[in-house]
Amino acid sequence: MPVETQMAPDSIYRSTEGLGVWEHKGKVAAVGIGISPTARRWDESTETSLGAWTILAIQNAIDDAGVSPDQVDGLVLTPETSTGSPWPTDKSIPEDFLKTYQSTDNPLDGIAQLSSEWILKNMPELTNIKFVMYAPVCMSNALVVAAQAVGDGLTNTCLVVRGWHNFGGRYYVGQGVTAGETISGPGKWSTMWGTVACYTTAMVFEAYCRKYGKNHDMMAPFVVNEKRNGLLLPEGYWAQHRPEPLTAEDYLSARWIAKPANLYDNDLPICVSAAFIFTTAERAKDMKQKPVYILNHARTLPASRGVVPTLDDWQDASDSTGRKLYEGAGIGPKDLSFENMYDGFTLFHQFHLEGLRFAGVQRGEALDFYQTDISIEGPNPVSPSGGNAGGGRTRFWLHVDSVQQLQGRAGARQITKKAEIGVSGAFMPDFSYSLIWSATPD
Amino acid sequence: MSGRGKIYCYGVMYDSPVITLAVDQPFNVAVIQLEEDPGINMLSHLPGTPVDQVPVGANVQVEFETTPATGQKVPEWRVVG
Repeated sequence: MPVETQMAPDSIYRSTEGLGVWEHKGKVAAVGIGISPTARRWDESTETSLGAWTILAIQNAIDDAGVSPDQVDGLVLTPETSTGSPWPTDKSIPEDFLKTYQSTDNPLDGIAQLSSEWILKNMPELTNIKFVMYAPVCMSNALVVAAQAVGDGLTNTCLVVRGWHNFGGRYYVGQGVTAGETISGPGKWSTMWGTVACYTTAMVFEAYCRKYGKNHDMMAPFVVNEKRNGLLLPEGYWAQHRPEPLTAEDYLSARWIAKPANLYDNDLPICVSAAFIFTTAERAKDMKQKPVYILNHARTLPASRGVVPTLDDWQDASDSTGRKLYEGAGIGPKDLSFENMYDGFTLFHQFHLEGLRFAGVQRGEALDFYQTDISIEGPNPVSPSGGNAGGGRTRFWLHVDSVQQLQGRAGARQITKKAEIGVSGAFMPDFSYSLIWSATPD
Repeated sequence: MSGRGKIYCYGVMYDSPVITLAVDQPFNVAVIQLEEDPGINMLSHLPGTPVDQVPVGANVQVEFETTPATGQKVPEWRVVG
């Protein structure tokens, strides 16, 4: 009898302030990570398909944790996998893929989406799955849900999975509602004006710069640092395929996409899958890798009533995220060894950073802070993962790095200062799922 | 509603995904806050305002442009006074 897949309920999240210390603080741990290879686009071979690479990532995570597949009893999954390129409606699915894998009702399962049914059908070695939950949109959501589920005892050893596919064509350009001469649906309030994906961020960034007297050039040290860190991430796309350093001059001379957002303020869509293994702190003691304990998690939902959020919307929301995270973890900004908040788009990273008051940075100060030493060798490592900008579009490098830093196995990216507590979360400043990670349970 | 508002912020589109607008690039896209409730905002190309010379905070008045594809009326906003 297959296990029913549930959508993550509201009750599983910590979304409001005033909840006190998380009841499972230090009692849930990450113990394994598995990553597939990366590619810019799918070459339509079976062995590099979304499904194949997701299976590989899961196997790698299981091996990394040192558990056996039949010990895994939970699966939390983000089913969406699109980077903005749909499978052409008139194109058939490669025969070899259909012969190799068991399919579901959706013929694009394993190619352009991932259902729990597809994974469980094609990984018969996962014989003991008793809990399956969807956490839409973002790996950060899935990690938050899994943390609470393990803490609540709904699963003891839980896989957390996210994959990305990328087909031919330019990112959203001339696809779907952007292809025709008319636009209907929600896009009639935004897309109709020709907006590109980064436009919201660009506009709020413009308001931020105007309020605080900053400018786009001040972003250069952050973006250069992202690329540098990303090239030290062996799992990342840029390190594997295009190990090209980025200079401040490259950044400042890049073409505009939606001014004030330029090419390097956007990330590169790629194909890749990742899996984490979460378990209880008690069980984690006996596993292969050093456990990384979760001190708290938080969700923030958008409250904006307009087409575009305002500067106040993003600042209020990210302030609240910071307060929720610290309250539930029982820590403060000074306790963070590093921050790994989301960067895809680069121009909103400072909202996350300021919301956390990372390194004491107050509202309007982050771009000045970027002019100081924010490197992995310095006193305040900013985004040691390199984020989406440094590793390709995944929204999960930030979490991969947080765990690896605290395990002491971040390799060339290992921060010089002692890694004790870190934070990572995504995606928008007013719509995020974040976690506080720690090398010790308390 | 009065049809009046203010320009809150703006961007300039250089690489729009909308194929039919590519010939107009670069073009302004501004966020307009409605006079009666600044928490509600809308987008506008700001007809009559040169590219990247957007007077943030200026008053604007709604006008309705006819779309070439269907003849439908679309709200746009023009800087006034």
